[in-house]
Amino acid sequence: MFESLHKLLRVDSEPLENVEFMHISGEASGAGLANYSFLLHHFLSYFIKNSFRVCLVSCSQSLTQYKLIESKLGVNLERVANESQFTFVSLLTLLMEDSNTSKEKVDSYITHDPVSSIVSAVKDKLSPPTTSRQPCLLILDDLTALHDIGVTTSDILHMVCELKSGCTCVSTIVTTSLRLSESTHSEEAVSLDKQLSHWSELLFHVDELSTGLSKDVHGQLRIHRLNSLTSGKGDAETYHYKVTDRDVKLFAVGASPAVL
Amino acid sequence: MLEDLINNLRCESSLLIKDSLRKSGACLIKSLTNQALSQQKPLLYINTEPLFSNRHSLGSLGVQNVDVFGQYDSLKERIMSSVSSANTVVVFPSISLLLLSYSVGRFAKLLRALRESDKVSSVIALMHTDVVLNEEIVDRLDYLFSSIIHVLLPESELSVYYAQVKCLRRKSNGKLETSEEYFTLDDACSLKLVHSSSSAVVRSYTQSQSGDVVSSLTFNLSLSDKEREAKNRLHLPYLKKDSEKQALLSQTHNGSSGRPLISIGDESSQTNPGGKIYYHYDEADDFDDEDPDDDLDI
Repeated sequence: MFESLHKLLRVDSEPLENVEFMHISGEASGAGLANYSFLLHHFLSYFIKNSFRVCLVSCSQSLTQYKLIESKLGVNLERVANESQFTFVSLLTLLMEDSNTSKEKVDSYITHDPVSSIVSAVKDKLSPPTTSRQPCLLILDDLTALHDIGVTTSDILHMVCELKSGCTCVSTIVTTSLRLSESTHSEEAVSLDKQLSHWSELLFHVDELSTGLSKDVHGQLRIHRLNSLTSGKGDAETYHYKVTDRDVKLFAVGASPAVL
Repeated sequence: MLEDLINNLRCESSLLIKDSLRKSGACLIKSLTNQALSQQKPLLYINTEPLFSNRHSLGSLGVQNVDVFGQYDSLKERIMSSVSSANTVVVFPSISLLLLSYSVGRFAKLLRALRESDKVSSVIALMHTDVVLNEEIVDRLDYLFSSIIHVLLPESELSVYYAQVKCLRRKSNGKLETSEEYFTLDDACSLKLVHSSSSAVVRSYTQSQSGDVVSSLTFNLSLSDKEREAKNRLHLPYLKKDSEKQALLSQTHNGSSGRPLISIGDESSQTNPGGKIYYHYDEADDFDDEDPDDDLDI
């Protein structure tokens, strides 16, 4: 599965396990799931199959959503969770539980040092087996949702740093995803997206087709390998993609079967 | 100017490098670091963001790292206490996250403290302009640093150069120097070739040090004593002399006793021989704005 993506990423020579910071951003104008989710689900199943411990911190979706899609990709999240290989943290549920569902308490929770509150809550949930030398993947999904409840860009970035540096695993990969839909295309969201991109070694940007919806081409994917010393526009490669039931097909721009 | 800025790290200078995701300016930080190390200057890296991997670590042997992430309350004290050797070059590998959480005013105070310190030779900082979107902050930072290098994507897609840079330097005499240059990188990510697309332009943006605007003019606006005396002696025909003014004033005073202010033919005509004609419209007058000859085909 996802062989065309692995080929483009040169996984054989440059394993994904060596990448320490990845960032996925998606620009979706429609309602519902942003269309970057196929990448997120792929990385989730890929690293679980490669014996990584995975911690998924979701800011908007429920565990059921992930379970359904992962089962299609051949991963039983419930089973790996029982084996302590997978941990799911719903950030919004966590905030509501801790603040006893009172709106005033949620507000005070957010305004009064939200970084340390969220970080300590996530760390408690993680509780890793300290003896394990198993590499770990940390996924932070849909950080834009935190903007919606009033957390500032600066606090979100500090939270990412704290979670990254606070993780006790041997190696960590942080995948952050961001919706840049019309309603949330604010200056704050752009600033957050850019700073996360500056930290990334591997950057994915999923976008809809500028010409409109198509049955054969679902959108375009820009893959950007960033070297902090020499990064530039020329390092980015853009492809068209089509998501199927258990796979994604990538092809050069203008080279889809519908065109040829 | 780019080569000069990198090769000659001047004392008491501060350099701001502005870049974006489209073109990174980290290679310039690396070149400046290598240059400072070759000049045997102690380097102090202020890491305001955590280093996620080795690729972000631009430092090398001989570089002192100070991690100040999240410790913004005692930032100034921490940095100042870390500067121990003379001629230290202080480097901020990125100030973007710092600027999102720390006010520009506090950063300006920190920068001023560093520049005034006897032990600090120069301050170098890198800022991602696509992260700090507040134009007011970016503009204020431009005034805080003595030199600015803005790294941009070359205008032409087919350009052989790695990046285009716009340099600006404020000299101690108040002159402003700007240039637009291109450079490439060699395999070791250090500057290889610098091409200047426009010659450096030097222009003055402040008054001369004396503050006297007249002295810097290319023509003469001042008067000598002799010229001033001649000017004062000259009586212009359409201006009244002092004696005439006094006479008119005295008439005004006398006018309150019923005598007309100005009347043609009386004794006051000696002081005001020209006289004046006042015309008052009569009720019967038919004053019309229209041209009376408008109907004529002239």
